[in-house]
Amino acid sequence: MARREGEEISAGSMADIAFLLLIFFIVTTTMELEAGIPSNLPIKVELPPDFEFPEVKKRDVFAISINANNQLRVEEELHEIEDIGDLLYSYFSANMYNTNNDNNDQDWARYENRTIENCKAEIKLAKQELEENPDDIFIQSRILKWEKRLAVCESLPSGTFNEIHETAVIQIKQKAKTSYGTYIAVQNEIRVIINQVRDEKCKELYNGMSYKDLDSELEEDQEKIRVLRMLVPERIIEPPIKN
Amino acid sequence: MSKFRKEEKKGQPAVNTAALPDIVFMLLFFFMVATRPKEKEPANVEIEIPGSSVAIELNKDDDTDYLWAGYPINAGPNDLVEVFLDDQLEVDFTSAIGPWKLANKPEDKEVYEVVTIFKIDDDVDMRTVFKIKEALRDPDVKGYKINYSTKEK
Repeated sequence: MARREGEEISAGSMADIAFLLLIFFIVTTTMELEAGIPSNLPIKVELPPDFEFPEVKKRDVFAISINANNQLRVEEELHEIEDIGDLLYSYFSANMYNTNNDNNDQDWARYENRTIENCKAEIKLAKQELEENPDDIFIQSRILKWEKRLAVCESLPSGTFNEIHETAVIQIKQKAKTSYGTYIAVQNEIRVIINQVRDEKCKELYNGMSYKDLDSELEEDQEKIRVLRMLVPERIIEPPIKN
Repeated sequence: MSKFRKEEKKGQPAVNTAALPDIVFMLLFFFMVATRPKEKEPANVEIEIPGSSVAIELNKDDDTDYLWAGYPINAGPNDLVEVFLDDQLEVDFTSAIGPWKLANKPEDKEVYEVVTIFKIDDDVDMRTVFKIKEALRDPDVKGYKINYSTKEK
């Protein structure tokens, strides 16, 4: 037996171990990124017996109805999926700069002006009400909403903005036999338009910057995203399917 | 005599394989950071997810649960949609979704922070999807975050 200079660890098996691990990872992982349309389901809240629903006007609701044959009715007229784009765009932008509800476009959603003073006044009022009913979750959520509005007002140079009416929503009615593919196509169209309107607002407010270029990891961009989400909210409700 | 010594038969010069484990480890590290674990897909179901132009990519580190729904391959006209939670077929999915979400809850997070990814076939009816969503909205489950998985269009 040859005398060895010093014992050395045999490195031959290291390559075997490495290959084994490599083959394990190749077989059990994938490079495909998961992609999809994120959504938040509405929270189930127990309504108190004396709860009054706020009055909702037809003009504030963008109604989409899909029937069992996957045909669409948008704002009470038969349409194709491609038509949702232009109609939804008008819904958002018709009265964006005109809060005078007597002479603005009566077919589309109303906007209301928010200023720093009016946000502060509403918060003060709501806090007084909260003192009388400290457990009322509706008053608490009202205060949160007004505080968010105040934050948006303060971050804008003009200190004021027009917000779409509180009750303005996009409504998607479906039937039991409606197919999922059509539903996703409708969701897709809605989000394309929301992104488009947000992009236009972003360019207007932030020196031509595009909404797609905002990075949710950066602080300043996070604030811009919050502002744009308030200016162009994504509010979609789906009534329960009965048949 | 040594001048005319026959040349020793030398073997081919051996390739130095000292760098082989390094290269393999490099590949290994690449796979460890650039990939995510695959999910178990149910067998014998036809699932073709819809396409979308606004799909947002999920971070591969987020906690997610997978829900699959589709018709069995070669389904007859009366076959019902099959719903799979992870890869288990659940016939009574409305009552199975709650316990499933609670069982999958990671130690340090709440159920409402875990996204449920819907891998549902194009042709599934909305009644099934509605039932799934109602089961997730249950106040005991609170599985509010969902994601409709789509392919690029």
